[in-house]
Amino acid sequence: MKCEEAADFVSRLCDGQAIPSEVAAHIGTCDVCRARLNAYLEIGAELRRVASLELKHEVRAHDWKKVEQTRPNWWSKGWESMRVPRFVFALLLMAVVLLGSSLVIVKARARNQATVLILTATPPSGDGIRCALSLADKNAASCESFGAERSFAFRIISENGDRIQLGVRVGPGAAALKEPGKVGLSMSDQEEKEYWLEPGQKLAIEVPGSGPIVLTGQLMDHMPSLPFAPDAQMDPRPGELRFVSPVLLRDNEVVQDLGGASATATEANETIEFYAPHEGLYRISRSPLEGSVEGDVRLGRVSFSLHGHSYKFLLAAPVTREKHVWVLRDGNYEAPKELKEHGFLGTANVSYPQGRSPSKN
Amino acid sequence: MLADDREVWERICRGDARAFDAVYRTHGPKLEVFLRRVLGSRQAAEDVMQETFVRIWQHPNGFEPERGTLRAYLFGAARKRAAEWWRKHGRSKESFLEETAKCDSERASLLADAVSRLSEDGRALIWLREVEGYSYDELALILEVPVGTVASRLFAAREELRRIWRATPHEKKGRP
Repeated sequence: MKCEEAADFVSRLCDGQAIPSEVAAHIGTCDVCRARLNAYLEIGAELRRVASLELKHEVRAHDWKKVEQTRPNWWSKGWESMRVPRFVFALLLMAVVLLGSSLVIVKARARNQATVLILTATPPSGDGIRCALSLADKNAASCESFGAERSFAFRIISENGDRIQLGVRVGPGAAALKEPGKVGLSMSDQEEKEYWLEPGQKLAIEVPGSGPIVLTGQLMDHMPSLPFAPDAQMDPRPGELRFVSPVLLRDNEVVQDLGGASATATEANETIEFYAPHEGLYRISRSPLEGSVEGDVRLGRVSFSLHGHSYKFLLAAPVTREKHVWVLRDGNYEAPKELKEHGFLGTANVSYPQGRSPSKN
Repeated sequence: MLADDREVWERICRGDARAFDAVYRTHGPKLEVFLRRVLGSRQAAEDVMQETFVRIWQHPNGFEPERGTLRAYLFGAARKRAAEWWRKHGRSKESFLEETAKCDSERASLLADAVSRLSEDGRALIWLREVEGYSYDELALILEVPVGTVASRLFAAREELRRIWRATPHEKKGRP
């Protein structure tokens, strides 16, 4: 073994990390490596000595009671600690989000600058639904969420002091709501029930056949730019891959516009899935996938070439902190029949379902 | 003496100024020394340390006890504030030289100079590992990088320091 090969392990050994036995044997008999280890240890000791000399034991006194504090709430704490894709939504038109095996479609109406209720509906299983409802603008006072099992519609009816009257409709999954010949889904035929919600408090609503959903709300003084992720930052978090309001161009022609839709992959094995009817599924990953091509990332733009064409994803927010992503197109992808004619955006694990592999086109 | 991190944090979240002051007095001094090394300026280090604590007190919503210790969280928050400071003020070699000149001996001065030549991340990393004794997992959390990156950056930082260290007179004279 050469000393250059062992050098990295000397550093690890210095930190008490386990190293391979052959490397340990080499270090034990090699003067150069032992000298390196001694130097590392000596530098560490000197740094600690310098630190102890610099350490003072008093800090400037503060009267913390005079410093105004914003109390954390369940909303911010939950959002900060969330480990799953944080937000999925679609606006104006229909959008669909696939999360694992579940299907969620969220539709919301116009937005406005006004006092806003951020509503979270948490079903017994699966991911919660979040939407922003304006208390001042009736055109932005409702939202709908279409899931594989259940669909929901929420609207603000009135306010009374600290309480907000909500109209809630619960219906079957998206497939059952689809009307032949019509684009989009509607909850208008479902019975509406009225409830009073106090922001910050939980409200449990019984849903026949699937247990209760829990509604919680938080007031904001404005309509967030991303109504389904009001706490989202412009900068993606480390390891995050985020598609907000994507448009796919091929040779500068629009292939698919999913304006209003959004999906975020936060786990290492997660990819973004972008489906365009008659085109197939585009899978975007932070690491290379078999058959994928490399795409250049510049803020809200992902550029790549495929089969002699230049492609661009244009997005409403920065995609990732990385410089590159990988794009895999699956032209043979079979979308669920109710979604075949509509694009959708979602996240999925890197591994393909059994029996299906990416096409080479 | 601080109680369990989770309990302390819950008290802070409820607005318990005494609990927060105890955290500030316990961890503030070490945080300031760390920031001095990362920023290369005593004044900037004190300012950034103060800002770090004030922000945490004003918005106590980022610490997750299940992910790490409160101490590690504070260092992570301070490092982020330091990065913001760098973005605003840029690198000032003069400030490092000024800081280096205040060291107690030539030996410390050389080491301080060597540390100042490292990248911002390298300085933070070597200090947090060697002085604060954080594990690789904790460093990955604080610096928001994978554990493998922690190991490789530590190695790079040590090699750079060693390169400068071995060229200094003390070693030629056979220092212990």
